[in-house]
Amino acid sequence: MNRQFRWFIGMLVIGLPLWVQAQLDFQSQLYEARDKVLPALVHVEPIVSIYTSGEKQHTVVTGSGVIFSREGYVLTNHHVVENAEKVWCTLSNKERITAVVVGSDPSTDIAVLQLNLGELKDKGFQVPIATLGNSDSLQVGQIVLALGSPLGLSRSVSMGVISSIDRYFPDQGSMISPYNLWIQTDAAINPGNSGGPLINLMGEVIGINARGVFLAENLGFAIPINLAKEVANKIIAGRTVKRAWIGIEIQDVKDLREYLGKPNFRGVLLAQVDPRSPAEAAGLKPGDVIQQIGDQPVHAEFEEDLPAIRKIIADLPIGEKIPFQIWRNGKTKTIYVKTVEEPFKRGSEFEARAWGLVVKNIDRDVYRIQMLSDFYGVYVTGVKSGAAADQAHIRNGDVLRKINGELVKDVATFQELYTKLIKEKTVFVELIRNGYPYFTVIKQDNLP
Amino acid sequence: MRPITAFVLFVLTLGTVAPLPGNDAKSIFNHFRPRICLVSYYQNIASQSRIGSFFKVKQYRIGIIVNDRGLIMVSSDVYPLSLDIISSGGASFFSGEPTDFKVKLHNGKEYAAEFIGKDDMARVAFIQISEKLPEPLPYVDFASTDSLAIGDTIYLLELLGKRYDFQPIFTPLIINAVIPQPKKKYLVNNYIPALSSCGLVIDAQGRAVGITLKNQMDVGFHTPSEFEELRKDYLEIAPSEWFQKLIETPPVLVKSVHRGKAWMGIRMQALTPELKAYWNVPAEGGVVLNRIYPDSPAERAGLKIGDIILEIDGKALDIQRDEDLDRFQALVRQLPHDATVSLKIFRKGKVIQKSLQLEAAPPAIDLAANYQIPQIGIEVRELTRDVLYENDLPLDLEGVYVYRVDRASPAGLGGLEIGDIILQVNYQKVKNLQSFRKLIDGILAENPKKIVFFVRDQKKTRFVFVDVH
Repeated sequence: MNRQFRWFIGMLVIGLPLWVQAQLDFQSQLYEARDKVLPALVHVEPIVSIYTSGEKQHTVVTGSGVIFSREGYVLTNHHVVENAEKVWCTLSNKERITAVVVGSDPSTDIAVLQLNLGELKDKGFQVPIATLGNSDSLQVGQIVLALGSPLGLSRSVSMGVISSIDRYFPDQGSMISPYNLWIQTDAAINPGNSGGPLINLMGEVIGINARGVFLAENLGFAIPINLAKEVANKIIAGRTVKRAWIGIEIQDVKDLREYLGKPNFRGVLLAQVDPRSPAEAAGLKPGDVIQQIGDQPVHAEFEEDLPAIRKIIADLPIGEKIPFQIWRNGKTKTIYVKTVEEPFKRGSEFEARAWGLVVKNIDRDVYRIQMLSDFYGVYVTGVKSGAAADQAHIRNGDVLRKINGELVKDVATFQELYTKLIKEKTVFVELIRNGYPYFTVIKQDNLP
Repeated sequence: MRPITAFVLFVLTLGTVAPLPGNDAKSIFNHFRPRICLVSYYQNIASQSRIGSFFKVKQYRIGIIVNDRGLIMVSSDVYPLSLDIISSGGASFFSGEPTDFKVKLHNGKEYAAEFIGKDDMARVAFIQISEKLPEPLPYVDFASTDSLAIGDTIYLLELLGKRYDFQPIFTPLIINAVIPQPKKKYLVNNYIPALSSCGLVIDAQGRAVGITLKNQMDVGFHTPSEFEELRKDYLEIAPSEWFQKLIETPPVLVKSVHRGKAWMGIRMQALTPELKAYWNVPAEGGVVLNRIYPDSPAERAGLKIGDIILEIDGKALDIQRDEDLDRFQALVRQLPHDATVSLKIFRKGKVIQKSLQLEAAPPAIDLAANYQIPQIGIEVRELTRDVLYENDLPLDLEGVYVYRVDRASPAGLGGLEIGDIILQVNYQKVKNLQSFRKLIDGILAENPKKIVFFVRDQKKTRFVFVDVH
């Protein structure tokens, strides 16, 4: 027998059992990781109200969530529980109990539920909890498992790797993520997985599954757990997430560096200053390059660096003058900007049933598209066909500014005015449509 | 008017009408067949997904020969660009000017032709055969249509489409409906597909009395009943009064001197019975102003948002539905462009009088002076009022308008988009087209690697860095 062949056989004799062992180890590692988190997985079934037809209708959506504290707090997606009136949760022991939405943040797509543990029949049952890991130490290529309960009650686990840890989406469309980058994975994420945990082989939650991409294969996106933790803590402490706002849009400086011929130039380029914003009042101008905010140096070489800087601004203390160190035409100077709370109020839609009208608070896009001069008004999201509002030619997308001459500041004032005027036969309404006024009268002929 | 003068005028009118053909359908057809022709031209067409890359597509239309020197009347849709800010040309950004007009007579002879001008209200355009004609052409002389009514027989002379080799199609029809407002027109059934824009309409006596208009599909319908209306196939007929005067003096498009129709500079809504009741308005209808354009006749006359126009030159406005607003528009547009009108206005509970001097509507971006920069793949234009009004921008805004961006060009790759307004180039302010030309030519002469544009779109500003290859 020649030496080389003997050597080969020898390697085989030693290597094969090792290889098999490694496979078994990997499999048992998967089992271990799965067993650490699967019991804490919750099947979430919110009953949500939808208003697209101009009147309230209900539908059930399904999603997933993960319990992360003994008090029964559950992490899930904002889009799963948005407009939820009642939330049903099925735990790993198959018990179905209700939960309340503690708080929800559309900008990060994170929501926190609290299980009504008192409803448990099995009083001895202690809710299993999952360990939240650290998403700052993730690596591309790292093996991950996506857990969820798509299509009903059965739990599912799918495996993949982290494809990217810094996926950026521009601030438009439905996948907004102004304050974070996304974890991209090829582990299958389907609609029912939304809100479920993405875990590593240690059995730690490293992300919250948020979206798959329709008609694309193996493209799933998860919110990094560190951001989810931070938002959840704010929600639990204060029930809403408050953010500072100064009214700017920013761009990376990659091209500017080349244009200026300064390869080491640092900062973030100011692209837009919103009219009537704190930034405008302070004298910031498009073209300025922000190099330091407070005592924090900022730098965005690529667009992937922008969410972190938006977050720095959003996390600034509200109502304080913050020094912004800027570069303008070759000189540096400091400009103090007084932050305000983000003027766009969230909150769910409100149905003015008697008028056949559904409204919600103004958000950033409406503010821009309707070219509003301030943040007052409510936005029409539904008009019931044939109802009083429809007869008055009110349309989806209109902004309702005044009712009987009184300014409608937000959904809360709209609700007050509506309650006061619900018995009136005619109500005069001033709308803003495509940036300009439109006058109309809501008439209720059927009233006595 | 004395009876004898009336009689003389009547006889004179008869004289101007070409010798009438026989009254039977066949001789009517034979008479008019040589008087219509096939018009072809090239249209640049680009889909939204292929911005900047145009296909040249050959288009066909019916032409009506309206004088013996080769003046041809066609549908105004051959020239889809807007002329001024109140006319709607169509999808101008995706088309551009038509080229290579050809006129093919019924005897098969084909002649080159040139675009003369169009009138969007009358929905007709004129082209002129530019080659020498061997002999005067037979032409159509339009008669007045006062007597046309529901139930009258008419004949339609059109051309079939390409698949039937543009053979003539002749259809006897009756007038199915008369639409009196805002301008009188007629509706007829139409089931055989043909080239119908500007088909010839002849009455039972063999007189040319109008043209067909393709019904313009309004895709913004809201209710199922409106959808129902669209499913049926019909044609609109514009009586000869719409365009008769234009045949004698066709509109001539010289871009630098184009004069728009009379314009007030307002946006409006109808005074509905509900609004009338709420405001206690002492009139049955009117026009509520909800937008006054800056530096417009309306602003100069001191009109305000919320004003209600009740009368114009003593004529009450019976407008109670938004659908009827085009009656008011038509009324204003047909006035001389510099006419002064007196308005009766209801403002804050009082009736006041205002006099307003109309103006020609400012020209549209489609007619604006342009400059092409092939090195980076854009065409920019002088800013026009329509762009500023539409985007609610101040009239003194300085910059140039990005009218075209070539696909995969340096500008396209850098992120410059159609509709952007360039405010600065390399941090230097752009005042107007002339200053932009000077700036960009100077910059390009130095072979730069990168050019930075500061631009704004409707909503926000941004910097665009363009790598020059």
